[in-house]
Amino acid sequence: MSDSLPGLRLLQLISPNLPTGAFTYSQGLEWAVECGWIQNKTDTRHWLQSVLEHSLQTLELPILLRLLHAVNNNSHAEFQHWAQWLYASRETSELRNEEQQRARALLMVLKQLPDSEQWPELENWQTSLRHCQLAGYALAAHHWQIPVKDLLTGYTWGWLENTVAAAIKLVPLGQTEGQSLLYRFSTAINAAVKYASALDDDAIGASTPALAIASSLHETQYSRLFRS
Amino acid sequence: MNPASAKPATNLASATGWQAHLELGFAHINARARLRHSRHIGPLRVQRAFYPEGNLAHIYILHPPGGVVGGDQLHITLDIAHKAQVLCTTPGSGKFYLSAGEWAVLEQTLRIKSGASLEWFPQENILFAGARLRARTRIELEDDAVFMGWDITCLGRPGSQERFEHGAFDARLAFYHNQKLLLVENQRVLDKQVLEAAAGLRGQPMQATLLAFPCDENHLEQVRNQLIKNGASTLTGATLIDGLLVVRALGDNSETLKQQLITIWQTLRPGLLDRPAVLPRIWAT
Repeated sequence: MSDSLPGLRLLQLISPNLPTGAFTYSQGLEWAVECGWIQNKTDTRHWLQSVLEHSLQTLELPILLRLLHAVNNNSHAEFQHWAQWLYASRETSELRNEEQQRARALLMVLKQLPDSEQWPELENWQTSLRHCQLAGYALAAHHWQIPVKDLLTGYTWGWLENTVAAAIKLVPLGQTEGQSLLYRFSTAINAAVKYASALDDDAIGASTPALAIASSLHETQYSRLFRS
Repeated sequence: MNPASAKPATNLASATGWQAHLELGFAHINARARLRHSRHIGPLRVQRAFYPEGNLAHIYILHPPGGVVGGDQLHITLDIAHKAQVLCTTPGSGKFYLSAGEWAVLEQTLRIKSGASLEWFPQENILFAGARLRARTRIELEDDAVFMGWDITCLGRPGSQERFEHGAFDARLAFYHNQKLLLVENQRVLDKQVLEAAAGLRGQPMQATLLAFPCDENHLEQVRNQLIKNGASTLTGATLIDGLLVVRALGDNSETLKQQLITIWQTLRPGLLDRPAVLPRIWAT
């Protein structure tokens, strides 16, 4: 295997073209725009910043790290525990549907790739893989030997790119302004990965009540482009 | 941190603080939920149960010191046995004062067995500026047990223009049904930037969460209609996750928030417990 292969595999895993429907979810952003919380680039930046600081780096990333650790150690119990913890941390019906739909779509993709026949977890750890998208990321990263720091960085980039793409459709925000947000947040991603890597189990969890409320209200929003 | 700004007597020198434990066990005996087991250590008490609506016991948990400082620990455990029905509240808000650095701890464990119900309506917890509170709540239901409850927290004292500029709040609630984790609700405020966070508290000092189980789409629709009728703000949202109905709200007025939650309880109670909701007398005092 050449050295660049894990990097290429990571690019494939986090690509917006991965058929998991990432572009159909806004995670509360659509309601936040609808009710006037987000009206311009500055508001968008504040929203992204607070989700990065109080959800990504405190919930998703530390759990992704633990899921990868669990696959590396072949510990099904640990894997189940963290997959369930992530799912139980999703605050609303829409966010849980999103988690499951994306998890299942990712599982389908992984199952159909040529070398995945030799991945016993795809069958044996199915319950977790069908509930938690991060579980699929961790499994793929294990088999493709993606270094943990790259995985966390790539995952955060994927979230950022997807959320900015949603913001461009919703806020409205120009394509160039979107690019400048991506450029700006790249420096924050490093810090988030570092923060997440040092977090204790007891500190894991999101503190984003306004996002939870936005997502609850999005469930009955009259006209919607996004599924969350 | 400036000790001179401490409000009431704070035991700044104390390394351990006040330890208080309260364990209550209710059982359905002779057609009533009766307090079968009760144990307390330190300043937590329960008043004698009373029965304003038949077999369902109303109890008030008291904390005579009236306030909690850094280093203090409150541990409350409720066990509701098969078929017993209990409503629990507190006579006043919980107050957490400025800490010199130590955490105050509030640990609550609520276990409800099949056929039993618990309504858990403690009044709001107020964290004075500079307080440090670690709160852990664990709720465990078995089979067809019913739970309705809320958690209301006020950071700082908006009535006195006191913002939660320093201090810390680290709260977690975990809800289990038949040992399966259904929800983890988390809130950590470790620096004042969090108070303004766009996807976080949005500058609101109060946050409330109401939980009800077991619920379905009909309950959710009733609750949403009630919220519309109340003219609830865009900072209040209801959702249904795996049979658990969750209402979350942010605000700056405890009475408005509490009223909002009370109307939801009134909406849900007839369906879940086959009883109209009658306000505990103590709330009126």
